[in-house]
Amino acid sequence: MTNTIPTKKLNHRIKRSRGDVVFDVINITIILLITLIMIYPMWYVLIVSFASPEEAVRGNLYFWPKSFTLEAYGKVFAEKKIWIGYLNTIIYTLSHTVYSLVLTILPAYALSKKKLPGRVAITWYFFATMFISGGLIPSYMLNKSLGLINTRWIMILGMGVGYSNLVITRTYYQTSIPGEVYESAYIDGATEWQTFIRIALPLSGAIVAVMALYAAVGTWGSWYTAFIYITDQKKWPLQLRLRQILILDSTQSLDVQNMTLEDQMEMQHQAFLVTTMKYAIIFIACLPMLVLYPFVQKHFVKGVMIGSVKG
Amino acid sequence: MNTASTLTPHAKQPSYSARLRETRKLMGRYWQLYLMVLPPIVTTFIWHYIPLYGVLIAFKDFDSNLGILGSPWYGLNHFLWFIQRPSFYQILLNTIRISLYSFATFPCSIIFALMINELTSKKLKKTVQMISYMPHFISTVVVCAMVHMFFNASTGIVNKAIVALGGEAVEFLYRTDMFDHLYVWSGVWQGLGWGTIIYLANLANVSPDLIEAARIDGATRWDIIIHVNIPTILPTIVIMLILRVGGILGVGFEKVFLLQTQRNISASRVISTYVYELTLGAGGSTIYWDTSAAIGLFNSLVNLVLIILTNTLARRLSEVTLW
Repeated sequence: MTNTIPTKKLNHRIKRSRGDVVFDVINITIILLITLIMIYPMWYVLIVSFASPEEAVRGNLYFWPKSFTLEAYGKVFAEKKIWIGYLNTIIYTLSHTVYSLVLTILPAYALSKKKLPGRVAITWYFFATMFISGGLIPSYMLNKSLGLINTRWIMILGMGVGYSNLVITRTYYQTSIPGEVYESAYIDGATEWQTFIRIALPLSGAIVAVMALYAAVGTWGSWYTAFIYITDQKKWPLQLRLRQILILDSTQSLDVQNMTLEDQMEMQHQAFLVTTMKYAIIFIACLPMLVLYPFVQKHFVKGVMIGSVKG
Repeated sequence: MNTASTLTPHAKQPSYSARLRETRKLMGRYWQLYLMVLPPIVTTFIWHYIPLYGVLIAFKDFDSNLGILGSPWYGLNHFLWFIQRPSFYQILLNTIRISLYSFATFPCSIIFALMINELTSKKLKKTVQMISYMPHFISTVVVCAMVHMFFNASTGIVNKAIVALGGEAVEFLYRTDMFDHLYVWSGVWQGLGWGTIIYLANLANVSPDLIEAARIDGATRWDIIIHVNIPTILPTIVIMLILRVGGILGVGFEKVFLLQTQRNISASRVISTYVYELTLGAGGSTIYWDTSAAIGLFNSLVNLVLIILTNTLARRLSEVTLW
């Protein structure tokens, strides 16, 4: 230390003791290990989907495939059922997202007005839904009497509003948009609706994005509703098809039976191929989320943060 | 809008009729806001409150020809039937065991958040967060499919590794003693990182001055975690705890059902899957609709009682409550 300037800087910081170094080493090691466990299953899906079926099933494939083939993807791309499911899911996701956005943003804005008479009662009306629900059969009976069974509507309609999302959005309006912003509009004699459209909505980009993403991710991954209510396979969303192919082990649905079997080896190859196809299907099913993830992650985190303001 | 009298300190409380007038005036001014709240009130009424009315069949000998009101009363017989079933204890025990086991992993996210918070390198912190949030975005079906495939006896990587290390392949999904572990730890894998967000947000609010002062006083990093960081996130922990306890008997249908196989069913049959089995499942029948409503109601009530109890307890202990 010949130079005196850095020492000055160092004085300001607290010296790292040996205990600190040990602490850091242990902490970082454990965190890296956990991170590895987080990412490895996803990595493994990726490498198996590109490996040759023989290596994937018989070989010692752990980190990097020796072989590379697009055979599994080729077969999956020819699988109409998956793409029908994909298309259905896209339709359901878009429609349900719009539906639930309308049912969340509008009431949240209204409930953010502290002077609104009945505000507490209305909030409780939604809050109570968190704790007690009708359950499977009463809901089934209702949807049956509404004629929604085996229709696409069952995937789009519904409550459309969740209490926590309502509170997050309401909190956003109360904390992020200062009341004075609305004043000029009121002075101009604007109605509540006009104020919302002209002033609040243009300022709600962030929260609309968060809510849209929550709804979209939820619908994209949902299979339960379809599982209970939709028997017509043409209307199945992707996730229900995935369950059939990946979990019920329904190889028939992959049309392996119709492949020409030249000899024993070929048959084995086809059987192995079914395994790598499953991994390829997983990758294809997760692709939209993985592509969007880096861009949307921030919004999701923001949603959790706004939610935690209320606590 | 305010009259002079209401602003003076000795003014009387506005009379009832005056307040009523004020409320009416506000309601008149805000009618468009009510219109904005109306659609979700209607949809919530239809899809949430009407099924609550349907729960009445839990006390009826339900006949769909007679309707909910027309069916004869059946008292508590459906509850008694369920309690007297030979499988009742098994189902209840499975439900409680799986819940408690998942509940026991509740501190994982807290610990992980405290650890991430200690990372000094911003870049590393960002990367760890980015990667650990990712599993949250994978759908339940895919996560369960991954469990099925990774733990497959012949093609799964876990068993391949076990065999390579000299062990014997295990049929994880056929074993009743493995179900809990698969269910709980796949859940931890998916939710660990995501669960840290709320705590990390709280930890970011800890004042650096406070930490520096503690350091100068000779506190180790461990001391700071115990005496500064944990007390900071404690209110959030309590809230999360109440929410978790409320769901303790609400073992979700989806993941249990997706990990269930014919062979592990004696360990994986929980209340929600049993309700499905009785009614809409392959062997189910409409005869059991009323019974299953009773079972569902039983489940809901236990949850409700649990959440009220925890909330009361939390109010006594820490003054942090849900309501």
